[in-house]
Amino acid sequence: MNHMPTQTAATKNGSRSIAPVLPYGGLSLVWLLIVLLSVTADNSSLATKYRLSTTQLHSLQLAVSVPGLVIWLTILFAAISIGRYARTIAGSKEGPGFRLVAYSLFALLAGLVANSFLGGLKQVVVQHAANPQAVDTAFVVLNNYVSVVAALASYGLLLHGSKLLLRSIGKRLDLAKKLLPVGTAFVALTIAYLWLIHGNPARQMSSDPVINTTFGLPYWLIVCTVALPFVAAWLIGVLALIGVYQYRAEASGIIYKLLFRKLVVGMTLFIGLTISLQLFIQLYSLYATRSLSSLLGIVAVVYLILAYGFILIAQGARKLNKIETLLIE
Amino acid sequence: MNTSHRYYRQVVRATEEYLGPAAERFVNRQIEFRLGKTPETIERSDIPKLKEAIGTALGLLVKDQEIITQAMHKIDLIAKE
Repeated sequence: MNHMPTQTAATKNGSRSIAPVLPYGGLSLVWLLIVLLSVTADNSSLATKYRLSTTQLHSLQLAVSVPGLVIWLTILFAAISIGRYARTIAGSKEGPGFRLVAYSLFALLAGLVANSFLGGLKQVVVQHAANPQAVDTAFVVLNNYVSVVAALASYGLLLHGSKLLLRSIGKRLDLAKKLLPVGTAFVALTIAYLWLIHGNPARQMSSDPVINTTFGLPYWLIVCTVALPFVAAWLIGVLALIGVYQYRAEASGIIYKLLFRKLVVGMTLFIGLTISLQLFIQLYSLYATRSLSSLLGIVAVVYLILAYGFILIAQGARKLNKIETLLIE
Repeated sequence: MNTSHRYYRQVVRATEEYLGPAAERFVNRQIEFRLGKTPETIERSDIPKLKEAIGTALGLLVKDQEIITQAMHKIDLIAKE
């Protein structure tokens, strides 16, 4: 006898309305507005800096912005997918944990959108400012602080979410064997990071027109308000990932764990690559050349892998959601 | 514990080996939808129908036939008790 699977009412209705695509359309519109903001600003100095015509520069700005949109949309896709799963299992022990995981992705997305907006706004404001250098520095500082807050919020929510998931199966985050290697790695990372920042001639102000100012702050302020908070955020992210791995290892259910695998792999890429990207962007000025290709090439590859990671997270959440919505007639 | 509740708990326990935290919700849903009963009122005679529904659902979630056969065998044992 063949039994037909069927969907629950919630999934049937969702597949027919346009509501599911609205968030993606809205985000794409925000992206477009930010790109237009950048493109309509007077970019003649930028064109000179990279030896491009205005048309070439506009085309490049658009081309460089597209991977950013792809990342935004994949993060949104992952966040909505996990959020939907969390709503499906609302009232369950593990529901709150997954809800916080969704919020962590929304926080990451908010930070990226805010930074892009500030980047576009900077180009418009600087060209009309009485003191362009000071305004440029102010925006650099603001961008860094937005990145720090977004990283702390995103990874913090993820860590709290992973702890709630563990609590739902009666476990606690177990760092017994991991504390020493993770701690050692982070002490080494902190020392290396602070040393590299100290060696960055453009950390407070760039005298080279090709190289952007990295932090716009004195060294001690960079350390206290940007570098150490970033390292703390990265550590929180790694602890969150350890928690997620522990949940997968210690939860019961052979099939549940199989379906959870994509989510875990996606989260590994998300945390690993966002940390690497933040580190790379922070330190880029040390190795900046007059050519854009090295920066664009590396960032494009990282963005592609990151997008893949978020798609895996979304696929994992959808598979878990399938368990909750499958009905056999 | 009455026998209906016992069968229900045994089916949930067997399914937990495969669906973990999602097992109880999954079994409840199949019982209510396929059998039209509340979970705690299932009888031994309901288990074969429930087994079919669970087996079909698991088949849609994973392609590994060995896992599905294993799960079905465990539910068979509950019906034979």
